[in-house]
Amino acid sequence: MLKENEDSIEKFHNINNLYGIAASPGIAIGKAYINISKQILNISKSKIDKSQINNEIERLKVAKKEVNSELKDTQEKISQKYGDEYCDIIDSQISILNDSEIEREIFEYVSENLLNIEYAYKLIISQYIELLEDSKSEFFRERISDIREIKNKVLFKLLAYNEKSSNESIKDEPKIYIAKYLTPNDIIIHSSENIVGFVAEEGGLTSHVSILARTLDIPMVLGINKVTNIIKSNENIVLNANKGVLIRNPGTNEIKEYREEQKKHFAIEKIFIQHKNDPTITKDGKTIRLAANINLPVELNMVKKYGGDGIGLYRTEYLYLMKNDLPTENELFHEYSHIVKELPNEEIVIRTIDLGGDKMYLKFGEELSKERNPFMGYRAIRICLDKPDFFITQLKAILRASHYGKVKIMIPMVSTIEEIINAKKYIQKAKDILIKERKPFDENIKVGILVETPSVAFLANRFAKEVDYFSIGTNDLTQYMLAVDRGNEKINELFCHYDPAIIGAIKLVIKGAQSNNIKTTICGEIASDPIATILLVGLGIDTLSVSPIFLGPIRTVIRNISYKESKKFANKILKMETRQEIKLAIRREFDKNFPDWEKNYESLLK
Amino acid sequence: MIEKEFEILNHQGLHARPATALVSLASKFESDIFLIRDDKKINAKSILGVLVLAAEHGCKLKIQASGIDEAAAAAAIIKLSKDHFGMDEKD
Repeated sequence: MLKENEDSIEKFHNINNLYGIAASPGIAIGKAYINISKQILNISKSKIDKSQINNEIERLKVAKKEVNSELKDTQEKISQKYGDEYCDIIDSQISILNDSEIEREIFEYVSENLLNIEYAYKLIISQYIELLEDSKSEFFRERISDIREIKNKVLFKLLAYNEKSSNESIKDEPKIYIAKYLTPNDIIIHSSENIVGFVAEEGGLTSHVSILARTLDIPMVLGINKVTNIIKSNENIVLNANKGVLIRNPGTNEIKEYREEQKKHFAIEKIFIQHKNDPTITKDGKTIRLAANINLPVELNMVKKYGGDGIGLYRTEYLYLMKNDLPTENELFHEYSHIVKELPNEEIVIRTIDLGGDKMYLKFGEELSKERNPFMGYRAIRICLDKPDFFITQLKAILRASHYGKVKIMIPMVSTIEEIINAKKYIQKAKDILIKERKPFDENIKVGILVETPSVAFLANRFAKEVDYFSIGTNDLTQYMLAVDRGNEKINELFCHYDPAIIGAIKLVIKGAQSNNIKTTICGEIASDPIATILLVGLGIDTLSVSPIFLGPIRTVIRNISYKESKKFANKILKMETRQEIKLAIRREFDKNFPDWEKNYESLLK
Repeated sequence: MIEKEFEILNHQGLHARPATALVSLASKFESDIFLIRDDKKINAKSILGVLVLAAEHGCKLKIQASGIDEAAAAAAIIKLSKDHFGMDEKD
């Protein structure tokens, strides 16, 4: 059975192109770097002489010292690139590495059993990993990956005495990181080194890691089946993340072509930067606000580089996900006010925490209870209303940051009017506490909701009376309207923003907002798709909030279309019956308006 | 030898940062200090050991200290646990 499996991988092996999902656009050229804990290490068990004990012990000390200095380097790079907030990730690895009690245990083992240090180290660390694997708590089991990573790093160093390890030998060249799955921490840690692209076996287009990669402008392809078994470390590869392809053994000409494409990409980037201050007005004078979606403060650089009307969606989950502990009010305030102070004249829409129950249980130190339907389960505002202290901590931090600029609060995952009323009560409570604490905030802070459930879209006219603005999250709205799990690769085809029901729902929301004199933003994936811009403008959207890398393309589209024509086009689309029909019509309309787009901006088209 | 019991008050359990605080406190004492949870007995001066306990909120751990400063060591650890291991936490 196993043999058969290996054969089929071997067959697949010979195909030069491996296909996955284009998760973050761009081209990366480099050598494969297989995630270190994936590599099989051949640790032999060999007897040593009594006289060698000290030498063995010394070898481990040297190896650990080297790993330690590498970790410190990484930490320094993370701090420079992303700020001190993210150094926590490495801190816990360093303290595991330098555990002196474990070191003593290993030395004792070597002296008593007269065995080589590699074997002793692997044996003892593995025993601890096994103990942790026994643990019922998912939260602590997460630490296993930290420990494994450290273990393999040290073993690699020990082995390097005899042979250069496969990954280390290419240290200074650009590398493409390949793993079974990726975490936000992986992206932060490795993109601060010379990793120029990411590949993983698991994950769909809208997973957190792909959003992070897009915002950091790093090419990423997800969902390549068995890629860690197929690709060998050190292999030359090209990652064409515009098309979702990993190319093995690229020829000299092929590499040349991709380098050209990269160059073109940079040239386009230059044009967008030149035009970053052009107002986003249609040819016939309608202003569409163009804002940016961000996850991390570091992305402000991109927003400034490409120009945008503030932040239309600041996702606040990363601080919660990256820290080992729950962030405190002051930590949150520090982060939020940093962003507000950077853009004091622009609107900053801060979304309250939008995490699923799976992540949050862990943070609350509760046992993880597996939900049968996590996307319809304990998440986002539902958690916040269930844990008021937790919610108020974040609200206080947002309110305090509002003192320094124009901040708006956005509540995600709302499905009933009561949730809005209750959320507003807590906002009031947070304000009352701040008054008592004599901390300043914007008393007229605006509160809006992320429209992403069918119930809100259906009764938008009524929900609009309770809030100051709407922002449509098309990813979740599509998932809930069409009942399609957006993370499920098997039904990726069914997930489509251009379904008539989705377009109809967007129109309904805009109408509901207009009749109550409030504004509507679209901050979902569809807003970052240049091909969809004509339709969205035609439907009457006020603001488009996009990934920073798409600010340039979307600005270009807005400035070159007519609102009147777009409205006519949108009305035509609203009458169509199938998504195929809609997709085709949108594509045609786009090509009619921008016949040279593909030639000029090919690498930006999704 | 002295044995004492304490409860983990931290909401997120004995995680990286509180565990580090515990280890650095334990390391200041001469005595051998062990922490016991069910059938797991680990050295309190080892971060890996403490993590392996996977001690979540509300779980009870036994301290077993032996040496010249065993009483002081146990008392200090219990005090630290009551202090949420120095974490800035709100109930």
